[in-house]
Amino acid sequence: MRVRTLGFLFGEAWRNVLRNGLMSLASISTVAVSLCIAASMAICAANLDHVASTLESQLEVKVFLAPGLTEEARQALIQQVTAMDGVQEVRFVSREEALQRLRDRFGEDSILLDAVGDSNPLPDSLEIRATGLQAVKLVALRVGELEGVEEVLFHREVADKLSRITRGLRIVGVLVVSLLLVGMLLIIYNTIRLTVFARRREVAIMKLVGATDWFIRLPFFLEGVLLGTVGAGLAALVIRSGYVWVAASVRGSLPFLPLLPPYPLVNYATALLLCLGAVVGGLGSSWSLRRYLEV
Amino acid sequence: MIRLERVTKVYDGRVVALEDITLSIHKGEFVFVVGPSGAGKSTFVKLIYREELPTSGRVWVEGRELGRMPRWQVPHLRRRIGVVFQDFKLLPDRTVYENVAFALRVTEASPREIRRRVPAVLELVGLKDRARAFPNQLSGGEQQRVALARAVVNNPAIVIADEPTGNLDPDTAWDIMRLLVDINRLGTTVIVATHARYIVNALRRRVVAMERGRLIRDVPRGTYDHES
Repeated sequence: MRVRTLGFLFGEAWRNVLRNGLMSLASISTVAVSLCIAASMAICAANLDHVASTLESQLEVKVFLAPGLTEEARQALIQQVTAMDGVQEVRFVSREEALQRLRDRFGEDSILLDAVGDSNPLPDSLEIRATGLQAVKLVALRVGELEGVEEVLFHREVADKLSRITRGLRIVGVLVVSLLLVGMLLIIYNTIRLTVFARRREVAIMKLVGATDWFIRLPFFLEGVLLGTVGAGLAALVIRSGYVWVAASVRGSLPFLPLLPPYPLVNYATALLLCLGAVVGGLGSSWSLRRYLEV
Repeated sequence: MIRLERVTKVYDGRVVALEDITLSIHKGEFVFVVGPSGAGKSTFVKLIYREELPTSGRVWVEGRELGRMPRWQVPHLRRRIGVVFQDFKLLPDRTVYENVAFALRVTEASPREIRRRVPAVLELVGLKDRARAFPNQLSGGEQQRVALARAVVNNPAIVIADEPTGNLDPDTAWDIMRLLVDINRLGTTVIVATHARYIVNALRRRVVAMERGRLIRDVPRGTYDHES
């Protein structure tokens, strides 16, 4: 096939897109919206995963102490913990210090702190660094049994919870994305079917003047690919700017939440979306051509 | 060049359109196919450009038997045959120039070739100054001339016209017929299926007469009806 023929056929495909204005718009926007939803879900899942594994890799156990613990009891507790196997470092955080940390994090006049007022609801706590990932769980278990310990928090638990959420989200995501893909496929299928009907005179004439099968099919096929890719392009634009914005505002307001950095993530997302759009467009139109275009 | 041997065509297993037709057409001939509606004229020409395949019997065009021709070769056969219809079959959203160029683009002709050939055939059919017009801005005769230009722009060996003057007034019909004669003079085989008795009788070319699917008469330099 010659390049200029491809150019001509591409032009024909573009003509079809414009001529079917409303229908093209419908399929492009369906593809765009579907891919936006799909990509958002995928990015959410990726981020939850990332948060979970980041937390998992932090070897810290947080221990909240019972209120009203005497100075001696506290010292004894700290010594006991320090002596444990797998404990590398123990740090005592007083309730005043904890409050100060919150102030630093949220800013002096945050609504949250206003609600707290002058009272300090925070307990004293210990921050224990374990020697390894394995040790974290053991230390957490044993510390929990000690006198004067009210609650043990370690990231493994949070991480496990997040992993479960991620798994759930993945299953839902796969379902939703499959449905969306089927929807995209159907609308492109239908759009191409309409073009084929609209152009059946033209197809008849093409056959008459000796057009080969692929010459007749290619513009329709390209039309589908074009619809899919343009829709995907729109989705990519939304996702790119959307995620960059979200990542920036999360970094501003929830700096402790370890989101994936926007670059190069959005570039991968863009490439993936464009490929997906083109493939779905191509599949949808091929399917339609097999059923409705007799050559 | 074209040969039908004992060709029968039955549609849907019931309607007999052609029955046991045997006939040859040589290179450079001008042939009228005449007969009342439903006589099988259209089926006859469709067999030649392989729009239909015979139910039995064989058809050769330029030495190739169409029944054995693989599908992918059919477009190449059609490029050797220009076809003109009663209803012109032009693309309404393209200019005269583009309608004619379309047949060349299909063959992947070079842009230079297209720029050379299209004005030349438009000149031949006398529509050089209407190149930018759209089909609905043209008269029936002009539209048919565009269709004719499209049929010959590929330099086909054969031109088939199926009732080319059916929608035209007599004067315009004569214009079209004269063009077909001109095209034939340049060496192209021309086959015209027609009702136009006055044209057939005036031109005195080979006449193949059909009735109810049968070949009833084949006369060189003949007339529409039996010579009495």
